[in-house]
Amino acid sequence: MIFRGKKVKKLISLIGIVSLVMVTSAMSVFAAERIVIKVPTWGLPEGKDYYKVADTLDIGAAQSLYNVTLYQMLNPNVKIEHMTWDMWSAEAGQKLLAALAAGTAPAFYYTGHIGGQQYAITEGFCADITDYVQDAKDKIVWSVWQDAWRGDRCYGLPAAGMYSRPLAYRVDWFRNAGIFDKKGEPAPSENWTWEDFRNIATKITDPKKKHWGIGIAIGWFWHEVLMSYGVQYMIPDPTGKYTWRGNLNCPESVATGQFIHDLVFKDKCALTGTEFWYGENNNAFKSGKTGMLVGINSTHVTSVNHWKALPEIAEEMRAGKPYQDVVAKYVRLMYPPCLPNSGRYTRNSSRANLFAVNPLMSKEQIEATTDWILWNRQGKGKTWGFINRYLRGLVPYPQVILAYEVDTAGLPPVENYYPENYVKWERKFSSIPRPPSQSTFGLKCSRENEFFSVLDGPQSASISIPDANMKKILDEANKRVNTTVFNYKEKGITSENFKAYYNALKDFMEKNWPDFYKNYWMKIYERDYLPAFK
Amino acid sequence: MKEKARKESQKRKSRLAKIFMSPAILIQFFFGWLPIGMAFAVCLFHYHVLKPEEYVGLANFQDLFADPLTFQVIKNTFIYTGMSLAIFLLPVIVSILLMEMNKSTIRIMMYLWFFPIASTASIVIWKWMYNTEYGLLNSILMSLGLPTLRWLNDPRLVIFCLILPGILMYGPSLIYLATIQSIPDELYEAAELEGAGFWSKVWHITLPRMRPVLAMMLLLSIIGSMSVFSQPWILTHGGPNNASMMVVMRIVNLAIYNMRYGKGTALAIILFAILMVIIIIQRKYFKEDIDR
Repeated sequence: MIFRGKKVKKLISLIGIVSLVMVTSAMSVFAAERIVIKVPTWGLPEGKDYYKVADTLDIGAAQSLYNVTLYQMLNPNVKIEHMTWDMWSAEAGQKLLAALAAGTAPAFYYTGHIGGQQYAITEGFCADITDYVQDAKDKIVWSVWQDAWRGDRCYGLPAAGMYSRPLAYRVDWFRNAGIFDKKGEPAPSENWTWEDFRNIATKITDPKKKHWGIGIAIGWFWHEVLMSYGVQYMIPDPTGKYTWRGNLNCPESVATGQFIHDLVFKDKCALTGTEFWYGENNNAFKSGKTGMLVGINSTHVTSVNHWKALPEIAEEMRAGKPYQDVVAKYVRLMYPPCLPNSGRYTRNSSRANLFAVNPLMSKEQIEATTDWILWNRQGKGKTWGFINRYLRGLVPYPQVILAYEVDTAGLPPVENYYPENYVKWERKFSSIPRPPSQSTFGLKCSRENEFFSVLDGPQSASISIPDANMKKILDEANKRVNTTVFNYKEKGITSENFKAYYNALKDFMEKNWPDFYKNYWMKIYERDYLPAFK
Repeated sequence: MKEKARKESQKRKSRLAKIFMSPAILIQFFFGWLPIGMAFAVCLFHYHVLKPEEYVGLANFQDLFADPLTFQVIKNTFIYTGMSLAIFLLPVIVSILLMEMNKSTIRIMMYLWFFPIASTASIVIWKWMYNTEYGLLNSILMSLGLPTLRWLNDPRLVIFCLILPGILMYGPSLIYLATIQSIPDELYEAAELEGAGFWSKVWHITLPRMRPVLAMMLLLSIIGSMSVFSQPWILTHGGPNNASMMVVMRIVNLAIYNMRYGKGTALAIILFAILMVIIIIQRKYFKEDIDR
């Protein structure tokens, strides 16, 4: 017998043990080296089925698979697993919080639904990724990235595209109502005021045709008007007993409420109601019921499909006319109005959605996830994303404005695909300077969500109660805020933080909006901010 | 020996009963009693998802009692419940009137009544029916030459508007019909021989026989109305100016959207206490026993 000799037996045992040790150590080394990150996907199947979608000739899925494969080849120690994830729906926030509590959240997520980036940082929902983004500093647009920072630490990255909130208006309605700018174009003037806006809204309203000048979605419109006054919703507590005080009953806020109330009940030029929210407002414009739309997300209007619901546009596009020509005939973009003699002041600069990296992962996973986001949105991965979306024909061009510096050489110019007016306004919006972020000065508010929910009451009163006394309603709301929401002190915030931030804001306003600063803002600074650190 | 065997058998049966009951008890414990118990603890904390909770004592309750909105949502909920209870009587009356019909008609009526309970989706339709500018209800009023109403935008009308869909979505008439049908015919026949009319039969036979079911349904109706959520959430989001904000909606707003878990739970405890008081009063004064 071959295995009878003692030496042979020993040799076989030795080989067996050595092989076992080698296999085990190889496995453990392999396991240790493969860093698994669960990347969220939306709109694609889950698990193994995900890999079958490539057979369906879905370019999006194929491109996504290509990106994963390419990234894993470039980074053999990283394994990317897909996780179907609801990133954008209204319930996304609740699902994410439950997943975070259960430890099953994906590698990164959008923070807008969990109280915003600042709240997410305060609550520990965002990993500190400062060490992994050093090389990307020059390649990301700072104005849209700054909200992801607190002090000198970074807690997030922007999604690929930037967006702004322009005002969309019906060109044909303006033409029919005889509203033209200095060049004779059917448009408001670039420095139009809220009073001009009100006159135009009244002019284009026609109850017989069921045409309203403007749709007012609770919250959005209020924000747009109030921000043009240059005030903030919350101000530092001048006594120092608490951190924040509500500013809901400041004269500008009362004027905003009264202005909206007048549009609805005096001028009767607004389509609105307690059941009229952001979606209803967009739909009212897209179905030809309203002539102006305040606060449209500019990334939406860049989709070929977005305006197709308008019967006039649908008809001409069916006849084969090019998108950019048809859309330009009916819907154009514009700055929202401003205050008289304020210069062209607006806070409506471009912004971007922010992604946070899951802090419950290991250090290696956090690093790999950050690298994946940067690569996929800025490196080779993004270039493939461009081509995919372009080929699918869903978007004539992926984004007019991008948060990352990306090499787009070889792709057709934007102007080939967008109406001239859209490109012009997107570029104008992207050039609007963004004020300094509170978070970079260490300021935060842990109860911002609760605070804004108090504002719902006055906002809905302004559009639904004919004899509403806006001053009284806002006084009561502000009292509620101060006694039940802002009755606490944030840890780590001193008057020095306030001083540094509001003085930076002062310098910013003086430099970028000198007329507005002189005529309006300086008084607000002295009234609302200065008493806290004088 | 026999006694021992009987005791053994009883023990075995008792053990089996415990085994069969244990899944239900465990489910009840983990998804019913434990969350209630935890709520009493959570309301004393400022709770976070990932960070350690902070003990705040009764501060959450203090915040709630300092907030006029707390009293307003409780008042709104009581008004809604009061109006809902009026509707509670409607299916009882209809069911009693159906009593005299033949069985096939009753069956058709049962289908018709149950049909509109499509789900909360039907509430969305009401949102458009109430629309002041192009809603169905105002179109009808206009075609009749009547002044239009502001429906959901009128703080005086809004709670009534929330009740209205409930009339069509109300399904308990099935339970009342089943109860009425279970009353022995002999009782009515005997009453008819004695010369009893329709209302006499209703008063002396039908209503007393329905009492246990009415008691239970009244209780469920109060609990259901006090915890109303979907109608105001879908139709008004609590507006105008919180005129239709209900207790449960406020709890959801606080705990889910404002992420004030402790404060939201504290309000839930207050609702729990109110309901307990109502239940105790109802159990004490509404006799269920048919023969008492």
